[in-house]
Amino acid sequence: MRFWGSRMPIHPLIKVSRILLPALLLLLGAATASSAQDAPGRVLGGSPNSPVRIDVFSDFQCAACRELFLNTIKPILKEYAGRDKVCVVYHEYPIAGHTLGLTAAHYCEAASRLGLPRLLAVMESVFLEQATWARTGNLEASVAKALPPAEFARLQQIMRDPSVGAAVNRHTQHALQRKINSTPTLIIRAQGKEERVSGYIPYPVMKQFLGRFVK
Amino acid sequence: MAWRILHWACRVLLGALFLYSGYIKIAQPLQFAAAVAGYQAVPETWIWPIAQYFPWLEVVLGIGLLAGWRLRLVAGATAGLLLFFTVLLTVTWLRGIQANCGCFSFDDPISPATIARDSLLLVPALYLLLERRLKKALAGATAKRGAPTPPAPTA
Repeated sequence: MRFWGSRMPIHPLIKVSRILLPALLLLLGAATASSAQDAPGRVLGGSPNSPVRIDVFSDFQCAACRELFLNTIKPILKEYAGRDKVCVVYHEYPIAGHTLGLTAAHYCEAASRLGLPRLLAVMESVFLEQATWARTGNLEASVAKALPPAEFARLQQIMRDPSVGAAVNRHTQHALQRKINSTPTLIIRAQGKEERVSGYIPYPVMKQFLGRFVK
Repeated sequence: MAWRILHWACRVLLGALFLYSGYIKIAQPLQFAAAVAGYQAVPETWIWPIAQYFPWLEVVLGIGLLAGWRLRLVAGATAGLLLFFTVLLTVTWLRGIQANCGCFSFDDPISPATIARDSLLLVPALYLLLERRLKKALAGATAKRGAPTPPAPTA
């Protein structure tokens, strides 16, 4: 029997594996990283290198999603994302049958092309007025309220671009791939661990949870 | 023999269920916190401490039931907890709140079925709690009729 430290001849297979194995691991790592980068989703705040990443899968026509965005996600963006403690990534996932929710997702995809402040303003207005547009069907009015007239005109132009619908489709496909079956769903990654949560979480609870990872 | 089988069946069923229930909550504390929030029964600042510590109570009760240490006390606590859950589920359902039970999984909306399930679990817990009295009463009744008495209670 030979032990570590003894001057033993190295088997050629071990020699090859010493080179091949790290290369294979490197390739695997690169593939995983690129797939993570390719995954659709909009960064609403925080750097991708933040210690905590929260992926939000949400539908504009769902009441719990409204509560989550206005009462939990917004304070997180203010308290943590601004200091790069938490990265919030938003994924459109309009539930089948929520036609206005799908249109709202299109508006927000278009708004994202006007920049993050415009996107956040449109998202907030759409969620705030959810009950109104769900009743009247006039979603456009709620979107228009969030933007200056010139920007709204630009948004309407962008809405005609077929790539807007394609982008929302990619979001939905990504959610299906991740086996998301209800909204809102959060996937929280911190310290190499991942926790999936469905439903509304009040901000004080989230704050106490995040306190385990960031100050 | 039948008494012994019944006794162990109750302990294993409840013990395993409580261990499993505690485990899934410890593994997904935030999901359990979301379930607690869904009941709209406690202030928001209490939710996280409940989500963190309550599952350990279930684990302790599960271990206690399986190990048989201070069984009547553990069975009493288990029955009390199940009674509390049953009342809480019923009240939440009657209030028309669409919450997740969060009892043995996180995909289990509160319904009459979940209430019935928790109520049924009370039966083995109450049996373990009242086992001695039950056996004594049965032994007394059998002795009165002049038939051979069942074996003396062991637990």
